[in-house]
Amino acid sequence: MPYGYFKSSKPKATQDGIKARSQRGAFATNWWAKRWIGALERLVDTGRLARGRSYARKGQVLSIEETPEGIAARVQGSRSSPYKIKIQIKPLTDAQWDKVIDAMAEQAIFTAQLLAGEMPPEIELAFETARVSLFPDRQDDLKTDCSCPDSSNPCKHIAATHYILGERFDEDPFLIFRLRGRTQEQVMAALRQRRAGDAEETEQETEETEVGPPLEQQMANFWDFRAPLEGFSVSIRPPQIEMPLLKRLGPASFVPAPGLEALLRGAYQAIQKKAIEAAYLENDET
Amino acid sequence: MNILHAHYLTDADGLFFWAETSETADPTLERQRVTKNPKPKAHPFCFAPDLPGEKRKLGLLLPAVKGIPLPSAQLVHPWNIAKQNPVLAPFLVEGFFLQPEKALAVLLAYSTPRPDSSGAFVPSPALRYWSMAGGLVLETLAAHKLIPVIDGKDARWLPVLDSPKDAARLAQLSAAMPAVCRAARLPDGSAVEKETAPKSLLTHFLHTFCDALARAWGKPAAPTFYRGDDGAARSWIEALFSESPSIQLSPNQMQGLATSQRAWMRNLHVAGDAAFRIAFRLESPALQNEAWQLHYLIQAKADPSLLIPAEEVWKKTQGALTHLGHRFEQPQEKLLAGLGYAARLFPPLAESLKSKRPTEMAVDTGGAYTFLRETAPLLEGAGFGILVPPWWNKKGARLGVRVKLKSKNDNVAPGRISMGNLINYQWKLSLGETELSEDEFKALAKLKSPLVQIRGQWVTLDAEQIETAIKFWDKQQLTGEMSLLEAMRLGLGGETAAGGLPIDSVDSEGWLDEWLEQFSHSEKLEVLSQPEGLVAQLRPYQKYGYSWLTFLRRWGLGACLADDMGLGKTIQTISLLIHEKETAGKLSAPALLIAPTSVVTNWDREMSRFAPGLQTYIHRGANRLRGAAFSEAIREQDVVLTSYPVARLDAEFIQSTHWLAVILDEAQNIKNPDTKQTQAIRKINADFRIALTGTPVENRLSELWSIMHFLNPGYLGSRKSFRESFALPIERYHDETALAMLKQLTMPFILRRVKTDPRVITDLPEKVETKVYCTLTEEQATLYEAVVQDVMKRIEEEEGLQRRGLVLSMLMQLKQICNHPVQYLHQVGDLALEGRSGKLERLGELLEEILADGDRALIFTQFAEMGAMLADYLPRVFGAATQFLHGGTSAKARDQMVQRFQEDEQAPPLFILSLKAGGTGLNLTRANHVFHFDRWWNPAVEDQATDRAFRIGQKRNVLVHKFVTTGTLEEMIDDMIESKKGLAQAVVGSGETWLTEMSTDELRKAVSLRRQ
Repeated sequence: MPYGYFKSSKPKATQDGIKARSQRGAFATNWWAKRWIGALERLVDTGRLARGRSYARKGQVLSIEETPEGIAARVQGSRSSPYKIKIQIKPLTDAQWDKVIDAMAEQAIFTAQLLAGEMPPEIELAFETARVSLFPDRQDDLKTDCSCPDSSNPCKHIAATHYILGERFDEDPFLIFRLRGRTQEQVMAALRQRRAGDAEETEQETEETEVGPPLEQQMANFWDFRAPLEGFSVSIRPPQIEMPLLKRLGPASFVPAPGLEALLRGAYQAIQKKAIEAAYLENDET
Repeated sequence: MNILHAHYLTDADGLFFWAETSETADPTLERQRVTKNPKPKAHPFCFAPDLPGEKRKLGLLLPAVKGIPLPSAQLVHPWNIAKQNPVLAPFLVEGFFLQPEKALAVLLAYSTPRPDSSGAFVPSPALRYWSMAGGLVLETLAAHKLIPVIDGKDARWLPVLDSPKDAARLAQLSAAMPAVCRAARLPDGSAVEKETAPKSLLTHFLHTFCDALARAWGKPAAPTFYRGDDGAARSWIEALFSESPSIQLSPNQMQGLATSQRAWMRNLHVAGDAAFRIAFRLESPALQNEAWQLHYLIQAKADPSLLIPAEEVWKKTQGALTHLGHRFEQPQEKLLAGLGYAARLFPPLAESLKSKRPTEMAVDTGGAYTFLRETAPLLEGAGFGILVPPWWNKKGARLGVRVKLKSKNDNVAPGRISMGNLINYQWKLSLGETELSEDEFKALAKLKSPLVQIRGQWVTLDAEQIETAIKFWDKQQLTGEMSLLEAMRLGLGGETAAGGLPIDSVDSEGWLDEWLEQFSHSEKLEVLSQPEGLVAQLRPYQKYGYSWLTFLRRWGLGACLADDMGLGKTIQTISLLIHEKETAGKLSAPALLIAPTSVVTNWDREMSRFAPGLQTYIHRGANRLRGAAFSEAIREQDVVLTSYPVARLDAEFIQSTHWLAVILDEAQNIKNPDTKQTQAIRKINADFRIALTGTPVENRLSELWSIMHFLNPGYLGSRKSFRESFALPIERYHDETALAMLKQLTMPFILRRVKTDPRVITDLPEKVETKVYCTLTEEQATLYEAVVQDVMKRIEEEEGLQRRGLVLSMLMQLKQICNHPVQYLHQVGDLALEGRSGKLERLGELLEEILADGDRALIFTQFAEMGAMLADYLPRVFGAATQFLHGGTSAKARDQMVQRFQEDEQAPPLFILSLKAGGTGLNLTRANHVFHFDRWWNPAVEDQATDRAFRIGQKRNVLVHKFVTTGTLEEMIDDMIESKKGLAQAVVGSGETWLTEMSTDELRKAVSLRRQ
């Protein structure tokens, strides 16, 4: 290369950066996270995107934080001190949000799926009704800034941060709401208000702390069961449905392929087998 | 006696085991200093049981009086420890600390209450408590009810016990936790912080054990990762299987992982909270082609009938639902979250959520089936309430089979039928009440609908069932013959499925039906009048027992009569044998009765007393007949008596003889199926079999199997399958389904009445006296004869006062020999007491039964020396402490012993008294058994002693056991007392002196040993 400008600079290796879970292939699994990545990919050239992906996978992104202004991140480049990155998405106005919430209140599925950790595929329709877009699709929706010398914005450091954020979206669909200016609680409260037509008070449940009866008062039958245990029984058998709890929780998107169920199936089965063996072992005399 | 204790230590994540023992110095003898602010001192009667762990000391806060800790409630001990006004004081106990995996093995080994025996450990309630919690841990692990989580910086396996049943069990366990579980302190006794609440201690235990065991057991199958797969999730998963739970990540990486993991866990409690949950109700349409309705509701967990339809939830403007003091915050939002979650598992539901306030949805038959079969179990597992149509999961709502049983010969007269009779069976497919022909089934299968309506009833018919049914048709022998025993097992519900299909019903016809009825309804049994040849009056419950034995005998079925001691198993059995002879005129072959060596004589005596019409032959002794001579000798006999050891030694020709019956007395002698004795006895060839036992066989399942296997071979399946499907589930985990099934199966063959049965109690006199006939051992007999020979020779040469002295001395010596050779030889301190005295053996057998029942007994002897021997010997054999009252006992000590025996739950259950010191005045009504180990000439003196227990305040029947050594002076005394004639008057008046007046010949005749 004739100009030092394009001098290939190897980034400094990191020990404890945030490594992207996706080590090859596509970055996001859910459609909304794909939309997020898509927004970036429209704005950045392929070379920077590729380097950004590689940064994300190597763990160059040291930290990501949500701030009132948006996202603040630190990315380790080739210099000794990490670059500071800011990503801001233009918040919707109150009036815009009102319209969006009105549209969402018409169908229970929006609330239901958001609460269940999913982004309803039709949610963009609700935003369209308000003539806004949920994901940044115009250049001025996405404001980015990096302290690196690269004059191109977004740079590879921003791209890396963006990819990591994409994975965060996978798990937390409300992140995009927050970046658009509303927290989950605010959206839910507004929806709640629409449903009831009236503000609801929310009370915090007070967790009752349990204290055992003082030993001094239990001296009469200190050694014995304090209540009958008749009818208490256990039945040690394999489950009807394998790994029911993992099935209940759904796929853990932060675990790489082949996924948590497949990774832990052998262990669950081994534990089950040993538990049943132990339960029926002939060890009457130890 | 040793009690094994267990403490769960939260700070060490494991269990600490220690033991209390009564086999140590009396703690009250040590001078105790009571200081105001006591430092923990060593527990005076504890020791460290030898377990594979780390030896440690533990501080425990225990109730104590005057510086002595109160023994735990289970410890039976000989000490006199004051119990009034205890205060909590710190003590140091020594024991072993075990990590979860090893601790669990100990917990399981001691999970069932076990009888006390010397040197063994009896588990304390606290230990049994933790073993129940350990069972819950195993259930959780076996059922995959745990998830990997992040706890701070650690990777952990978290048990999730959130079903209503789990909540109820956890509440039950928390409430039952013994106080002592919370008494652990630091070794220096300090840091007496606020006591942990039972619930948090239990939760801590469950979390720790689940995590530790899953970690260890899952490790060999931990996932392998490839190079490049080095994201945060990998570190987390690896830490789930490593010894240290700490996740190797930087704080930032950790934060990202934790956020993701929290988001993933969000749906764990999507179904509701502790008080309320989201529920679904599926309603079936009236007609096949109409739509099904799935309704959305909120359900109160404590009161499942309290259902709030979604319509009501939408109308609510208040912030929370309340029920019984529980609040359900934001019900609308929770309902929506639940629906959103359910839509993921059941996509058709999403469509209904496009409305503003969804309340229900319509589904077609296929959808309804998918919901019932696939979605409902998942939702239920996630904690949702599922209300399905009442017919779903009912027996008749799916493809099943029914079987018809019919005797091959309808005109068989009862009495001619035996277990050899064959029964015709015919299997048919069925849907509920409807029998299905092959054509009908094919027509239904063609509908290709998993839910079909037959005569207005919905039933399921999915592809899997259809396939099973086709296989059933192809492979199962649909008609054929089976034995009566197999038919019985089927008829009593012993099988639940055939060829993979559930058995809907078992229909029996003709006499077979009536026959099965009699087994399941005891009141239908025909009660016989007592046999004419019986020289005794049967009590009503004995008549029933005898009729029951006769009934089973008619069918060639083996019967186990397991009545409590003292209820007359012997006389019921004898009645059966007399009946047998009276009906047939002559027995087709003799009956073989096998009993422990010590009771063979007893049987002989009772036979001749109650059934003089039965020819009885005793087969025992070194000179017993063998082979052909034996066959010849028993040909004309009705009953042959023998002992277990002889039955084993002479197995060859006993097995080749055909017997009318084999009757086992004290059938627990064959409890171990592996012994040669058991195997030899099982091979004896007889028309019917009877087992007699007084131990509660239903609580000792391996024993039950062995006895049943002798009585009705194969009926309870193989030993291994029995252990897996009944013994372990019931004994260790209190599996109620298995218990109910076992009861159902064995009920026809076991008759057990206990002394406290209301039906029995009214029949039973308040005091039952039995003679316990014992035999001399060879050693005793030799000594006995030597003394008679020696002294008689000297008596011949003496006169007057000298002769009198010799006679009295001889009587004394003979009585001592009957009691025990050691007593006669005065070998004080000789530990080899076992196997040398017939009386002592018999006493041991009887006490075993009494102690197993939790009863208390008085043992009277006229010899202080014998009393001391018993007081030393019995605790060594039974581990049960004794009290011994004799002439040298101070008045104060005597009063304390009596008070303890009467009032203290932990008092030794056996009270040995010398006839002189304890025969009068005392009130010992806590005992319901009285033993007279040796006899006194004067029955009034014995009665007076018996009345220590049999007097006002006694609420139970008293059993009096009078020991008589057959063929000896003792039997002569007994005969004398019984006959109440002539000489007896003199006997009563003057004790033994009249014997001194006898002529030498008369005397020789009276005392000589009559060998049998």
